[in-house]
Amino acid sequence: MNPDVAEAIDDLVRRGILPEDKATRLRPIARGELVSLYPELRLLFYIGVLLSTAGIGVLVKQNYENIGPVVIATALGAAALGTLFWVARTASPFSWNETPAPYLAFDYLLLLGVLLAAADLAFIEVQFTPLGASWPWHLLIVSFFMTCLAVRYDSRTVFSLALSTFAAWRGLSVSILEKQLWRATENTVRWNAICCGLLFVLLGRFLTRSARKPHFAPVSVYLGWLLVLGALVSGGPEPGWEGIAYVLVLGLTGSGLAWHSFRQRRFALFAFGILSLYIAAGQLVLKCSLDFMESLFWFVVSSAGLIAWLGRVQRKMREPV
Amino acid sequence: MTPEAAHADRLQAVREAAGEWFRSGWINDAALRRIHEAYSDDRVRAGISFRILFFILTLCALQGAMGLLYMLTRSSLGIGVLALAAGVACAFVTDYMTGPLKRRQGGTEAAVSLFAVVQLTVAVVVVNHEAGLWSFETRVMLDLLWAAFLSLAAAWRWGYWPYGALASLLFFAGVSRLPFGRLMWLLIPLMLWRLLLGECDSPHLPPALRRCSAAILTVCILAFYAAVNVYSLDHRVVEFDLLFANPAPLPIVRWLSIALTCTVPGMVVWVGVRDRRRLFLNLGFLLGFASLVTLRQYVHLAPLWLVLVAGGLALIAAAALLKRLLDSAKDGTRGGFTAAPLHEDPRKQRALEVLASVATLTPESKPFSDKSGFQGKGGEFGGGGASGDF
Repeated sequence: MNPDVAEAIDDLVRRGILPEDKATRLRPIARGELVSLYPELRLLFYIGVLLSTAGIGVLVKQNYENIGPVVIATALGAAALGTLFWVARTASPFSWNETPAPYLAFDYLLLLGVLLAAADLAFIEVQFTPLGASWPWHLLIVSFFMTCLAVRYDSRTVFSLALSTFAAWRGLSVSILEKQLWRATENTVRWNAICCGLLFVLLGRFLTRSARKPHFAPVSVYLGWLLVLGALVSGGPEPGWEGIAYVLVLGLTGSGLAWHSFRQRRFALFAFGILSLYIAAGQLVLKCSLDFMESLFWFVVSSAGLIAWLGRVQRKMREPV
Repeated sequence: MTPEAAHADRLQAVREAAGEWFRSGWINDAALRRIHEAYSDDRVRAGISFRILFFILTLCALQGAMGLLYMLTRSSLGIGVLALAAGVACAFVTDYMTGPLKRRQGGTEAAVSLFAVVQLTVAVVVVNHEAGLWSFETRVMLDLLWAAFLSLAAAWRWGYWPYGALASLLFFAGVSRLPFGRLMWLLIPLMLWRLLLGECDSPHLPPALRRCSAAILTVCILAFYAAVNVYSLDHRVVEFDLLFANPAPLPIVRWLSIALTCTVPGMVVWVGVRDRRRLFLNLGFLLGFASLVTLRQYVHLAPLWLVLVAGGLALIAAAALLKRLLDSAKDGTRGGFTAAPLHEDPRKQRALEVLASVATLTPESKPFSDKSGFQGKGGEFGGGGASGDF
């Protein structure tokens, strides 16, 4: 209920800004006489899916020796197939543009089917090891499967899971499969994260430019930059020239991201860039072995200076409030 | 809040509502512009990205400056005096920024206000403990109550609802130190809830202070439930039994606690349905979930996996039935409720779902094991394990 909005509706009608027929529909909402339970219904569906998949995980973990792996794999597969079959039957026609869900529960049934299928594939891999020593590749298969479903049924949630599963595949396979190819150090995982992040950013650009699911692009771009910047930040504390190199790359990347985002008026990415630059500068200062008071002085002066500069930038960028 | 800030807050509420009407297609671009002209904004605001940047950087600058000053002092009392001076100065600066400078939703003034509250709290805590006039428990209680008072004053003066929630949390934490703390957790919400409910809808308060009232009411309801919950009673959660020697509750008190654990969620939902208040509906759902978890602690009717799966399917079925019930009514409305999205922005909820899914359902990093065999865990079953560590 919002008494100010209720009063304003009458005022807007008097001024001729709002037609009376629209005001008649808006007044009950402003007075709290009509309340939508749409967000609550979505939340119920979402929590229901999470609880169900959690329960299935517990069932398998606690009882797989009693039930038997074949029965479990078959049951999970059947449940996943059944759910996804229903989703396929009731889905809207495919479009590269954003497609509203045909009904409220659709997105959550799709999520349930995807989670069941992924769980089944993971269980089969762990129990029967069809991929043998290359078992991490099952994550790539799962990621590809999720991507296909996300694109077909227009689900950003499943798309984000596809991306994070792909990133998980890169993270694991480095330590298992690529010891022969690269020296397996923490840096290898870090560089995989950077490459993975850049791939996601490029994917986002492709989606936007090709107008194929352009509404998926923000998920890909934000996750990509988080991976890249997170990996660079994690490299800063490394000792010696290696750490300094990471800090410099972080500073350059942050600057470039901030500059590009400033020109494109992409406010969240601009904030990522500025924070990265600030963290890089702070890490560099800490590496200079200044005493505690000098470091504090740096943080005070740099923060104040950055606030003053950002005030001017903000007026130019004019981010919507 | 000052009358000018309160008036600006009311205008902002109308502009936000107009934005929702435009997004939902109720009004066109021309009408939106006319509403913005009629209810024009005189405040200096920043978008969410800049707001976060300004907030973080302002806190860094202020905390760094205080750190330097603290290091120059030689005594705890000196720190207390410094903190007092800084807190008072920042309180005046916040007033100046939100008053003559007309800043609102800018990030900087919120950070300065937070710093003021923290420094004034530090000042009194230092003096309180240096003076050593009371026992340690009494001093902690006074610290909490003082912090609660400061937060409440900040909420009333500057209209930030998190201060309202913080004030009530600190207040209940403070009174829990008293011998009858649990009783206070029961009585104070019962005394205040009607008043707070009225304030949530009062046209005499600006929207920001109505939100503060709602935040305080939420904490009061949660405190009341925490006081009656049988698990909290058995484990002395409110009384901090390590510090107090409390006798076991009487059997009649325990039975009453069990009854209230079962019925309070329903009563909250009933108020939500009767008065069409989403806050109560959501709280009732949360408390109902807590009661079911409490029940599971005492009564093992079924294995955990069955409880989770049945619970999940029950929620899905309940949502589907409720939607059908509402859609089947005349105009899709029953008792003032509808399943149709009115002005809700689905992008926000979708973004939260994406974040929650990535955070909870992404495959976890697990060390590779030579043993075969399934090692899935509950909600992490979705991926089989992969390294996400960098």
